[in-house]
Amino acid sequence: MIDTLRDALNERLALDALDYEVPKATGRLRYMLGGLTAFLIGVLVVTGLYMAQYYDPTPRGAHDSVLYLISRAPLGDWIRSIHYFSAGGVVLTVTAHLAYVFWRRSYKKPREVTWWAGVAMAGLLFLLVVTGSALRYDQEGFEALAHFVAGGRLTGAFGAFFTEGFTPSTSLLSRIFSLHTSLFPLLLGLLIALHFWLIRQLGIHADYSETGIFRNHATRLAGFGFLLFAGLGVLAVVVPVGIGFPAVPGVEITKPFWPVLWVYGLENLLGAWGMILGPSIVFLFLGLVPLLDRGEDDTPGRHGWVGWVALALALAILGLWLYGVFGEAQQHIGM
Amino acid sequence: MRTGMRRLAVLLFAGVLMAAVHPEAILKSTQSSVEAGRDLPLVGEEFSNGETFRLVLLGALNDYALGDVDTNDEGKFTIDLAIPANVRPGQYQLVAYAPDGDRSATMDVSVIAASPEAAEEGHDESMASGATAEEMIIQRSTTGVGWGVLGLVIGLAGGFGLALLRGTPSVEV
Repeated sequence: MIDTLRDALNERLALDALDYEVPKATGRLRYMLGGLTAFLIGVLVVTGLYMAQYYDPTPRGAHDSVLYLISRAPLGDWIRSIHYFSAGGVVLTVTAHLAYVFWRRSYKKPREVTWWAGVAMAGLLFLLVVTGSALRYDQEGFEALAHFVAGGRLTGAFGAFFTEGFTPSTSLLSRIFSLHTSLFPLLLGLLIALHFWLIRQLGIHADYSETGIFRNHATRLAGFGFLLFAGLGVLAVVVPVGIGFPAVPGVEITKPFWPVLWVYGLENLLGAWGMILGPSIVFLFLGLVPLLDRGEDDTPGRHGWVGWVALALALAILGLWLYGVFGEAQQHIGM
Repeated sequence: MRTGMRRLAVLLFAGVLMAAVHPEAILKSTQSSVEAGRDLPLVGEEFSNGETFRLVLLGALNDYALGDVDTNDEGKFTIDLAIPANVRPGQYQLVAYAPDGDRSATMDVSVIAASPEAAEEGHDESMASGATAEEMIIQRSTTGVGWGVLGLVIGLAGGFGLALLRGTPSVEV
């Protein structure tokens, strides 16, 4: 029965095309970090679509609509918690994926564009995390929104979109919601398609002397993905995500969502410019990596000075993050 | 068979026609927002004649029953609807329920924080005006059947994940 069904699906959906060769090493979890990131993005899309049915992206209704989602929408509390933990999870998996790909020097010719697409996706995920944290429109969300305005003012014409003076026809919150739910996911989808296509065409940067088939890799990946989802589901039950009180404008007293705390730490040192300089330096460096680490040799771990710079940046981010976590809450944007 | 289909078509047509001819009940006010503890001038039109309707304020966290209102021979009413001082500020739907429980009309209204005088009668903790990084204490939505559904979803996801991992060789052909 199952065999018949499988054969029927294979024939009609051309699933045999998934039986191409991949390195045997791809059966290991460290080669699935990118796939798990994609899986979590899928979870974020599904849970986000559900939440969007209840969310009111206006300053007057946003906080109340989140309260409604938590307290009255069917399974809304759990689905929102899954969304929150998946967002944190995706930051961890994409960071680990980026670090492992960097260590293996998989960005070298001919995979530069694959790397750049990955870096752009990491940047978009970072922006999705930041925009998402503003939507709850409690004190923390309001302060995140105020940071967009402050960043927009600092960067002049580049940041005009993020200032409230951009247009009187709609609120900044509505525009951030629009970015979070349409433009950023659309760009992310296009980059994922490009990333996957390039991986399929250029192959995995690993030893092909021992190979297996992609279908088994994908099935194991789905297995890990569903286990991860179950784990997130339990976490969402045990530690449901809350919401703060309605925002009081003109006050800066909260700390941001944990993936952004290293930027917060940098703001403690540099003021509002920290939120522009920190991410810009990190992503500029990541973008330049294939151009800085030239040459034929692609032995993992032998980056030379580029590796030391990367290590210094990673340690700086870790240090700033710890400072953000344990340091006193400070004012950065003079609200 | 054919006659039955014709009857059904006539009934459907009559239903659509009645819906088109019979106007929907309307709730309207000169104000789109009201301070908690104050009155909201409210007009109802196109309701059923001489019936009693229940007015309820539906909010994100709580619903507030605001009492009953009787329509006149023309299906209208005009009242100053008292909004309790303990209503939490926020966006609400004001709903008029017919005696059979159907929603007859709805209207969006935002309730703003009570002034000190209006708040004398009652006060909600969440109406405190000081900024805080603390989280609200909220009654969660998941209860009863919901927990069962969650257990099922989590169990199925975990079981499916394990089955996929056990049933697949680690990539070999």
